[in-house]
Amino acid sequence: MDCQIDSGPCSRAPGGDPLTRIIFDIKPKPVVPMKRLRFSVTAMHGGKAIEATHVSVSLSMPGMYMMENNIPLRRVSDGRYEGEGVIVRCTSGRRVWRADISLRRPGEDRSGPVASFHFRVAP
Amino acid sequence: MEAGYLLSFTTGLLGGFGHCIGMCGPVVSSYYLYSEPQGASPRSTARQISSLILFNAGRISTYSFIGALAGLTGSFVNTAGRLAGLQNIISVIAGAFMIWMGLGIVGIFRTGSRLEQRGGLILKGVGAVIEGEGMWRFYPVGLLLGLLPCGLSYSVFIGAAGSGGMLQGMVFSLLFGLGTVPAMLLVGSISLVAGRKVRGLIYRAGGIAVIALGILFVIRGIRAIAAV
Repeated sequence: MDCQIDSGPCSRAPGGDPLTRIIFDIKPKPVVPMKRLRFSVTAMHGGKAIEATHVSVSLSMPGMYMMENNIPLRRVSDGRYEGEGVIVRCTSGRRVWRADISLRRPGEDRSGPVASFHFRVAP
Repeated sequence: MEAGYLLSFTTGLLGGFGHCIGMCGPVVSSYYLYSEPQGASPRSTARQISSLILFNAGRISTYSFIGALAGLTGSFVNTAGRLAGLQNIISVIAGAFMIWMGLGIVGIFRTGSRLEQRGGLILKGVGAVIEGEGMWRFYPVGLLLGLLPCGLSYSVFIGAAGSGGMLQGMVFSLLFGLGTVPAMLLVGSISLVAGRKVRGLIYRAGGIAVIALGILFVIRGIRAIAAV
C-alpha cells in the first residue's frame, strides 16, 4: 500500500519524471465503501496544469476479480479533474484497492495510464 | 451499450471461476451436499440437472431485479443503500443455514421435518425448502442466495445503474448472471457427485467445513450490519 488516503492526497511522479505530478484524492474522509465519494486528480508539469480531454480513475482490487469500475472525471479548474463514484465492499474483508489514473491529452487517440495508487478503505 | 453487455457477460464468465466459486461456492456446495444425503438413493441425472438450472434461474432472477432497480434509479448508491441491510441479514441467515446443514451432514441432526411438524407458515416453508423433496425448492434458494452481499455483483450493479434505464439495467445484470452459470453449474455438479460418492470421514469432514464456513458467513454479515 503506497497511499494513505485517509491522511490526505497522494502524489506520484509518473515515469520518474520529477517535473510531472499526479495528485490523487478521495473525499469525504475516512474513505468508506458503499457511499458516494468524490474523486479528484490534479495533473501538473513543471508547475503548470496539464490540460487533458479525458481523465478517469479505474478501480480494481488486487487479488480479487471485480468488474472494472471506471469513474470519469471532468475538468473543474486548470489541471484539476473531479468525478463521483462508489467503492464497493468486498465481503471477504479485503479493503485494499488500486486506482489507475488515465488521461488523454489533446491530439492523442486514446487515454493512457499515468499513475497507480494502492490505498485502504475503512471497514 | 453492446460493448457494455459483452463486458458484463465476460465479467460473469471470468468472475464465476475467479470469484464466485470461492465466495458463493461453499453455500451452494453445502446445500447440494445436504440435499443428497449419504446413503440416499441418488436422483436421476435429469432431476439433478433441473435442480441446478432452477437454482441458477433463481439467482439470476434476483440479479436481474436488482439491475433493473439500479437502472431505473440510475444510482447504485440509492439501490445498494436500500438493499444493503437486507443483504447483510441474508448473509447471517445463509450462514445459520450452513451451520444447520453442516450439523445435518455430520449426522448430529436433520431438523427440517421437525420444523414442518411444528406448524406456522414460515417455519413450514423453511422446512420444505431445507428438507423437502421437490425440485421447485431450488428456485427460492437461488432467489435468496442472489441477495448475498458480493463485491463482484455490486460492481456489476454500478454498471447497471449507468446503463441508462430499467430494461438496460436488467439485461446488463441478466447477462452477468448468465456468465456465472458455467462456474456455478460446475460447483453444483461436483457437490452432487460428492454427495453420492464420498463416504465416511471425508463426507463428515465436508460437514465440518460447511459449519466453519457458516460461522464465517454469520460473522461477515454481523460485521457488515455493525458497519452500516
